[in-house]
Amino acid sequence: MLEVKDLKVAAENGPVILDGVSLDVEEGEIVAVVGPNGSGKSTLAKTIMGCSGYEVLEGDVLLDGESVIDLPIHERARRGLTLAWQDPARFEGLTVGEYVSVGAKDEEWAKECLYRVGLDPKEYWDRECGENLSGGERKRVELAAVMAMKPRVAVLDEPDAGIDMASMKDLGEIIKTIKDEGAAVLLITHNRDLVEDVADRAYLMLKGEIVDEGDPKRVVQHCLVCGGTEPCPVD
Amino acid sequence: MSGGLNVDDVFAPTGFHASPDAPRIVVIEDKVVNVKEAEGLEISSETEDGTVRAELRVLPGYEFEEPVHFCVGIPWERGVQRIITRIIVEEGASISLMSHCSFPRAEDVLHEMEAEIILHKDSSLKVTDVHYHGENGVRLRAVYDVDVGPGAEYDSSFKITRGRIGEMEWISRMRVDEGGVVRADAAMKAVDEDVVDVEEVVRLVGENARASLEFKAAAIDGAEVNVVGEISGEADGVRGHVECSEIIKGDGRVSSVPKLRVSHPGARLTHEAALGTIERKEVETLMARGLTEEEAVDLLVEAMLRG
Ligand SMILES: Nc1ncnc2c1ncn2[C@@H]1O[C@H](COP(=O)(O)OP(=O)(O)OP(=O)(O)O)[C@@H](O)[C@H]1O
Ligand SMILES: [Mg+2]
Repeated sequence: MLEVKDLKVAAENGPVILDGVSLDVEEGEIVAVVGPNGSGKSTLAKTIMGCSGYEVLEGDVLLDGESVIDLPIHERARRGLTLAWQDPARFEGLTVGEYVSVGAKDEEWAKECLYRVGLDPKEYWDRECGENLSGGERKRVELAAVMAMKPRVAVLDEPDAGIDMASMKDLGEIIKTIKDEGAAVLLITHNRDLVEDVADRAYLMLKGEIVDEGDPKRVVQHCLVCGGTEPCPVD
Repeated sequence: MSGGLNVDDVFAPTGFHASPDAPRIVVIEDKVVNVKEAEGLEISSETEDGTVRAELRVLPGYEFEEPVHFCVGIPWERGVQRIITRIIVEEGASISLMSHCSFPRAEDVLHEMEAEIILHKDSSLKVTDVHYHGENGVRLRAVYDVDVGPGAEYDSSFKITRGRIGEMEWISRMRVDEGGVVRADAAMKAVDEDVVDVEEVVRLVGENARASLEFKAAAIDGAEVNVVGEISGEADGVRGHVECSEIIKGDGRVSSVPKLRVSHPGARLTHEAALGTIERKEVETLMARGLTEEEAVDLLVEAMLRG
């Protein structure tokens, strides 16, 4: 479904951030990427989507076996790829309803998606996306906007950041809903429980490289114990 | 109607949908093609040397809840429209004016408007002015002189957010007497070679007079928007506020000059300005939901101008 091949990426006029990153996500899978702060996870997410600010030096991103590396963001989106940002945009003046509706087939479905991420559309539909949503609410709106698109590949960059502990269980359900609606999911997170709860496989990223891949429990342990620098202690 | 011209079609891009009974005056190029008065509302007009002169007078105490339509425009590619208008709202009267200015096919169009507006004691006028200048824009010069009498209220809302603007020069001078109120807002989207100069000046001359000016503008890809909002507080207890929010995209340019003058110790005036660019991340997020870059920018600008 999604294939990342030998990706080497630098910040525009800046240092190399990703070096030789390869991974894949199959249909119906939830695949986690874990790794310490600054290891390059968000850079990977944004490069997959085609965002500005980075330069692809080598490698490729394929969707259903076809390269999308030269396509602009919206063309990738129209082929079923989308991204939930780690720190979602604020959209001064735009309402929650308008934002979630952008990729939705109709208003009813957009409302349903809000409902599924735990936001009552009656309360949230006409609210502004800007300053007056809390961080956690913005993350939920972001997930609703992704869900509304019924994507075929959804890259979720730390959807758990800023979500309270009590809601974490819901978050697993939300991610599974996105999958059940037809998406293969690439889930970037620091949350061990979330990975163990929903992921089928996991990758460990360190300093811009993939250093481990496999069973989510094991990879997460590996990450937690040594940050990926040592051979896996839980093997 | 004139020569098979459908007035409703000409003004549709500005949201015009009046019932046939609604009082109105419709000016196409240099001809007044339709006038409908109502009890308490007198409308007179004449054309001289290509200039249309129109006067609207609301008689004392008459209150109009439904809007009166003032439609001006040129439905063809080329033309000149010069209008000199006087609007008089007599004591205690109130009226809401929907002004539609439409030049849907303009290629070479000049529109000049001079308006004198007189609000007598305790009267009120609300003007909603929606413009559409087609895909090429027009040359527009408008000068408003507004006299807001004691206890009177003047609400003005100007909007051009679709298509091109062209070259626009807009000057509005307002004088507010004791207890009078001015609220004026403008929302403008300028694109490509559009050049917009807007200047609104309010003198608060009577005690406790109030004014608020609000400008929202977007300058996209080479367009230029310059805004001057000036309030002068000349009497005790007057209050005034100027607010500007402007954004640019690409090599658009904006400038905003709030000018506040105080010549009475009991006056209080404030201003706020926020100038910035459309955030790349916002555009890219909307693109990740399937919008093209242009569609994304349009949606963001629309939200900002409305918000
Ligand atoms: N535009 C840029 N210019 C220069 N350096 C950048 C740029 N973007 C990212 N970096 C650097 O690249 C590295 C990887 O950043 P990235 O945001 O991808 O990390 P991350 O794994 O998502 O971290 P976190 O867990 O904190 O979200 C960091 O050291 C960061 O400072
Ligand atoms: Mg990150």
